[in-house]
Amino acid sequence: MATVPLLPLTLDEAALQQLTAGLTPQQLVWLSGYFYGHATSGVVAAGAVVPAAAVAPAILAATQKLTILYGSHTGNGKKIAAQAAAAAASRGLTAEVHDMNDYPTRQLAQAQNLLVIVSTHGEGEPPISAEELHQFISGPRAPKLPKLRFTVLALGDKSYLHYCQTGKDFDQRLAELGGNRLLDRVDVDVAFQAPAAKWIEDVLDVLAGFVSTSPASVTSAPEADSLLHSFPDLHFTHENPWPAKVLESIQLNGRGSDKETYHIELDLTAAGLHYAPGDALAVVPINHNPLVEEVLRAARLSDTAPVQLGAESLPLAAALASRRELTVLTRDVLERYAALAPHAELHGLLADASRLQPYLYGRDVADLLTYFPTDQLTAQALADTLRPLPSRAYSIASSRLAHPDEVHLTVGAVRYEAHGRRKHGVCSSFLADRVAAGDEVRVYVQHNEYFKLPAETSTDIIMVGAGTGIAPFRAFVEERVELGSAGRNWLLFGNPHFTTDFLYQAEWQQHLKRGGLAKLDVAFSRDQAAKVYVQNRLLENSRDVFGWLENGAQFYVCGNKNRLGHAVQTALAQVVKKEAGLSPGDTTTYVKNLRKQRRYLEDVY
Amino acid sequence: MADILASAPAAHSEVEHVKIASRYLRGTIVESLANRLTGALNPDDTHLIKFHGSYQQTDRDLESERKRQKLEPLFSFMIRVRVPGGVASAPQWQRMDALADAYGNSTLKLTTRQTFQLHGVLKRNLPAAIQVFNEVQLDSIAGCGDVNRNVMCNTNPHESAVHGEVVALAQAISAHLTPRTTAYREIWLDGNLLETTEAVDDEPIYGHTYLPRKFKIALALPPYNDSDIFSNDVGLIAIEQNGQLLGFNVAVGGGLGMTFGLPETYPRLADIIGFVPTAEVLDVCEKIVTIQRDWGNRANRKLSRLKYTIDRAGLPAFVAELHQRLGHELAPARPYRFHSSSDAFGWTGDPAGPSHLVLFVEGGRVLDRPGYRLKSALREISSFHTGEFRLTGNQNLILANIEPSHRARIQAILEENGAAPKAGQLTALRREALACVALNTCSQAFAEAERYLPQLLDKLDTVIQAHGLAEAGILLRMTGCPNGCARPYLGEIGLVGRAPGRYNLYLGANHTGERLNKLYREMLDEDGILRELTPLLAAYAAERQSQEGFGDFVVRTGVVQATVQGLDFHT
Repeated sequence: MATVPLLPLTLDEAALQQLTAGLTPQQLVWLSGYFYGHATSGVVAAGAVVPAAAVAPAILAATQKLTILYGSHTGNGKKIAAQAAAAAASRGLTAEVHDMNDYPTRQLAQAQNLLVIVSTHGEGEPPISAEELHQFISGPRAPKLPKLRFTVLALGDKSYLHYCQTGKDFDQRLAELGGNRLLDRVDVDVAFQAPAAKWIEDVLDVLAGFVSTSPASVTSAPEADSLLHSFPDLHFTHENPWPAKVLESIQLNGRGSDKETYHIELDLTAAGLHYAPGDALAVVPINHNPLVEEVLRAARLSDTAPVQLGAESLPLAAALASRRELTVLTRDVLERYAALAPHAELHGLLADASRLQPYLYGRDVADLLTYFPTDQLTAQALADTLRPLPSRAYSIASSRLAHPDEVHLTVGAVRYEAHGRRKHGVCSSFLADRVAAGDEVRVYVQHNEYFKLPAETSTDIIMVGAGTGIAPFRAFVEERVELGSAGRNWLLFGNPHFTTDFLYQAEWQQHLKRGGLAKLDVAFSRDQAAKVYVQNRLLENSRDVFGWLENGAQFYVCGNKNRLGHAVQTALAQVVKKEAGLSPGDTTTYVKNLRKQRRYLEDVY
Repeated sequence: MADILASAPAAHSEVEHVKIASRYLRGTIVESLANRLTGALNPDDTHLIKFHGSYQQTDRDLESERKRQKLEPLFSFMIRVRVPGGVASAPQWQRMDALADAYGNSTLKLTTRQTFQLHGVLKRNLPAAIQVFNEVQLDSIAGCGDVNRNVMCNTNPHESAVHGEVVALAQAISAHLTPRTTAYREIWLDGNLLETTEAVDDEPIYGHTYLPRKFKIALALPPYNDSDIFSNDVGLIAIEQNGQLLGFNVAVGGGLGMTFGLPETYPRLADIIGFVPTAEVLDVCEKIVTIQRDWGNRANRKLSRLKYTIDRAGLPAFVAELHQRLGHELAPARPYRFHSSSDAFGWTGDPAGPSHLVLFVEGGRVLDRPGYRLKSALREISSFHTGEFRLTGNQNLILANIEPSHRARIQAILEENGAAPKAGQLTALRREALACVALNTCSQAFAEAERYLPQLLDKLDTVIQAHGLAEAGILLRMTGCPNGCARPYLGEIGLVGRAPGRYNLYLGANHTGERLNKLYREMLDEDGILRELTPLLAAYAAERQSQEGFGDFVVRTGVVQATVQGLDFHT
């Protein structure tokens, strides 16, 4: 303890004590958030900022018994890793915590006790930070790992078909390479906090039998706390959100648009809720009453029938409105329902993945109950069959430096006709239709570890966004303008129509005029016979794109994964190939290195 | 005339600097068109594009809404397509009709200068739109701007054998005074936008700075003055003898625009200065243009029309300069007599030969709305009509030289589409009323005009009918600002917008366009307009003399003073 400095700053314990004497735990939490906000917004000189992940190995370097690797997009993985390290420390175990992105793959061969915490994206793909390690263990160069003891915590979302797929991949491959499981893999859904905490306790219980503890490296609880508190908003969660007052809600699309995009400004005064550009705000929605009534009718159940949710008892209608997912139908719900309603067709669907996905697409709970009715359904059975209503996360569209005590969102209203009924996205329609200035919306911050402004304010940035993908870039540019960053900002934006869908047009024009944007390129796909997209603009500007990259620029993409993410990647590869004259292989390496260096960053959904 | 030149202020207005730097009207229009980030042009180009026949406008109805939406104003462009003499062919009509749907707001505006106006054209569609009407030999160059604009001519083909000659002369004047710059072709038609050829450009009449302000020429064949020639910089009155066109009386210095609060600005009727044989008309027009080019005020655009040049120099000095530039004196003016400045609605012509239909177009707006599908009807007619579509100076339309076999078919199509007003259905007041575009697109407008006038007329019709005046043609003209587009100062009743819902009321012009009206009341709202006009109309109904117009009546009874000279307008 004496040999390893606790703090990366030139402050000693005594000085800190002096600074913080008399503060309540809540005030300490607030302060940690305050400094975190400062750090991530770059106010503190970059050299003084040491990410929490880098602190951990320094503290725990005395022995190399336990390795914790995390790979996730949102920062949830990092949170759990930190919790696990803290819990290990309290039991006298030294843990080495790594972001998979920064973990030298060759070290895997030396690992003895490995905890893997990894999330899954989209159609069963690893998060960007886990891509390389995932590829490494799956490939021919993967080492044999006969001495490895491991276990996997797989983070996922049951609404996706390939639930926890990346975690399953890690679990399977590590075993195939000779590793022995400490514990069976644990898969956790969106509400991960409680099961993750249990997993930590379970795995540490098992580990205690294998690993010696070293008194010299016992870390005290406050240190573990400090690691945790680098995430200052832990106190606002899905279960405990902040009720933010709506300051303004503006439809951004001009008249005649097919799009419906809302700019929503929320008041964070006194929330102590901090975010940095690139983070997301999770909104806890409430189902629309007509939909609740449709579900009740289809289920032929009374709205007042009492149901038990954990320790709480409440009427079915209330449980459906605020506690259960109604708009999205998922495989797990279908499975549980099929057990109650033995329809042959339902069982057939569940047995055939190729038919299941198309069936689920565009159908909701009312559709299911209507087409597969059953007399066996009780209010409690329905509540138990349905999933908890998850919150929805939106990339934050504002900078706290430009709008102190506020957070802005850019929300696209999801509405469509499917299977004979008009469908509305639960959260977007909640925000669009049922929330007005003065109302309260329950929110909490979801940090996005990777989608952040460059540490150096002099670094150039290229931002490619389509539709509501513009949101984080509004935050980025505002932040960099407020900071007076020397780096140049280049925005490429796409949407269907110029006159109605140029989101935040007047603001961008002002930024361009005043230097907040060095370049602005737009693509309006439906304004001419041939469709034109942002990727076309990238190609048209290939020389500048490459020049900026060679000059160290960071490249950001935000928008629809399938429509934008892939197309921009392809376009960027073409740019590199053309401008650098590289072979296809070297082009791939160039782009891969951009990712590896965290200079190609995606926030796609 | 050295003193005139010397007394002109040295400082050029901003627009003059833009013209000087424009390289014969190019400016940075090409760059403006290529800028995808805004629906607007670079500020300097907004002046230059007028010379190409277009105004940049915004939808003023959406101004605050879009501001809140963080969107720039909804910029769009009005394109004014020249039709010299007002004579368009069926293929030309078809193109304009289709363009309104493809790029405009699905309506065509027939203007008080016999042009087509497309409204709501987005910047990115400007070249395509111009190319489409170019294919049918229509253009928009000099539709607006500091040059000679569309040359007007009264459109009554059936009234005189010499009318064809007069129209041909209108077209010849138009061609002669069309700017020679190749910028229009280069920017809009060639598609080869990077190559500039101004080195070969030359403007022998205008010079590279063009005129100090807009310039207007109109021709009329007495007894009809529906082209309102006295409101033009140059008015030409055809003199006919035994079916032969002898030449024209020349009038100079007309113009209606003024600015509220600036009494040095005023509407002015043109002065007749002599007679010129037909063969010399082009030369006389050119020489008048060059005097205005050299003498006009380039420092203050509010005082730069020819009318102020003439009043500043004095008419005799102006005429002397003209004589000097012509190398001879003009002959004395010949006698003539105008009877009317209105359109004679309905069918005319020989039942056995070609016939003509003068069609009422409310507000000059060709559109479809439930129960009234004028635009569709005319589109159908344009598919077989072998005669012309003639635009009148009163925003109406003449289907001219209709084949005898088409007559019944045309009438049926108009009736089927609810576009053939039945006799007695519309009061004469409504049929003869004029309104400019005003809100929501004109940036000058203080108040509504075209969109509001029909509602006001509903209320005025009640008064008119109560006093048995349904067939008394009273000229009512409404504009949203004092600039004079719908010639409000030649209305027996003139309503000029001052503020939203508020109008100045002018009274006392006559029926032939030879007397101005005079300010009677200021800042009236609708109730005020009705309150002021009702007793006057009642008195007119009770006390008018035979054939006496409403304008003549209010002058005779001393409600307002007769005003002929522009300099007397404010007195």
